Amino acid sequence: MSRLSDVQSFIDISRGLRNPADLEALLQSITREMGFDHFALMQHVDLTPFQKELGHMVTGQLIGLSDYPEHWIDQYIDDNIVTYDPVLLASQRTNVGFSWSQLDQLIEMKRPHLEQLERGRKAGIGDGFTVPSNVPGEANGSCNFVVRSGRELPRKELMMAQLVGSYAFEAGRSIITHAKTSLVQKVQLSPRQIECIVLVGRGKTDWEISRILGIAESTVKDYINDAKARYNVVKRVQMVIRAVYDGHLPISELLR
Amino acid sequence: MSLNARYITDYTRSEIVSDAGLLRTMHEDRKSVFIDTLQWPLTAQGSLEIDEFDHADAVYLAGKDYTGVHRASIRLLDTEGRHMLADLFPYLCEGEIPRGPDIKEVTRYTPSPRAKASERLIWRNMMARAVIEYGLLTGIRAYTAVCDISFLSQLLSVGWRCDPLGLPQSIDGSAIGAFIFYVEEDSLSKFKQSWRYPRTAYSVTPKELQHAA
Repeated sequence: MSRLSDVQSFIDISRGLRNPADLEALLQSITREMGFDHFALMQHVDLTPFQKELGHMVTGQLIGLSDYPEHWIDQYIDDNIVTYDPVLLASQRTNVGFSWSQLDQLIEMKRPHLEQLERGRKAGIGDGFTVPSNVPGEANGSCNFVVRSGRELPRKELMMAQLVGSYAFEAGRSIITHAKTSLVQKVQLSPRQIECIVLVGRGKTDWEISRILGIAESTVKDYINDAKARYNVVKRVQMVIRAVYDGHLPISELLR
Repeated sequence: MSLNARYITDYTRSEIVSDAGLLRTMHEDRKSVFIDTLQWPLTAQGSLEIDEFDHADAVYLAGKDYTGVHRASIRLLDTEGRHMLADLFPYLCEGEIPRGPDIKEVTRYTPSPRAKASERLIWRNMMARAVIEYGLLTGIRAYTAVCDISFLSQLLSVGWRCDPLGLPQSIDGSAIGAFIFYVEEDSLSKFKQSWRYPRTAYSVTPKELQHAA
């Protein structure tokens, strides 16, 4: 069978899956088929709801499937590595698959990043290939394929991994969309409110925002206080971060 | 920001040429998106991006704001005639290139950088819906697309059935692949929540009115 037909059968099977354990098994088998040892399909969010039994996906809370060594998964979650893992940071900077040897082309590798990779290696996570899935309006995520420490990446299979990773993430997204109950409610913001938050993120004061939008300064304050209340945060910077994280505004909007 | 009165409609090349404001702003936005931002190796004609596929048989689905300025567009090419997958990227397709009167190639999806991000998202959703509505109304079974891999996650996240036609390839430093997505009776109901547009997005009426006037 050609690589394309392998991918196509992965897509056909993954498309209708509703049970996360089935997607896990399917991903595990194609991961090996491509010459990798482990995979991790995940949203880049707080991973504490992650459960080995996949309850977090059954309830639609978050996308997280992995066959990494168990102690590494535990350590990853307990130490909240998701917040400074250089692989995930790099994954926010691109939408195309990259191997971890290219990390320094995407982000500036600081000491904690290098230490993190080293900890991974000690836990058996060697080189990897990461397929980002960053869609405006949704939490960022990725599908990571890795080899054990000391093994080479299967270079010939990276384009296949690119496709499989993108489709796998979509399959994960379908499972949690389907499962999602009212458990997780995204905070609702009005378009005007989002405009104010964008401008806060660009460093504008309430007065400046009121001039730009042609509304009263007190109205701007109301919008912002209301948004902070909805996010249960007290500082403006927290509100901006939450709104980006929620997908209410793409980070590119803040950089204009 | 009222988008209620807005719609996406279809234009033949000669129709879009006769709408000077839309034509100019669409080609300006294409230059801004594909040449200035994405840095694709395309040649600009002054402030415009136009290529050999903007020919007489090209059809556009486009939306404009109330002043007549371009807000979002795509170009549809006949797969039985000259189109990008067959003429420029045949090697992206592993089997035979899908061709037929009921298969169109989608190229140059252009969200206007003039619009705010929140507005671009609305136009994006209108366009996705319009593409399916137009397909259902005109008997299109599927669309093919040569797609920069950086756009793949978005393309898949819509919810419609979409398959690869070959493995992606590295070209000029970026990865590109060919895909086909299908127009099905239940396509719109498969759309993910974040891609939904709550009303009909495609309309033929305004153009007919324009012709009658």
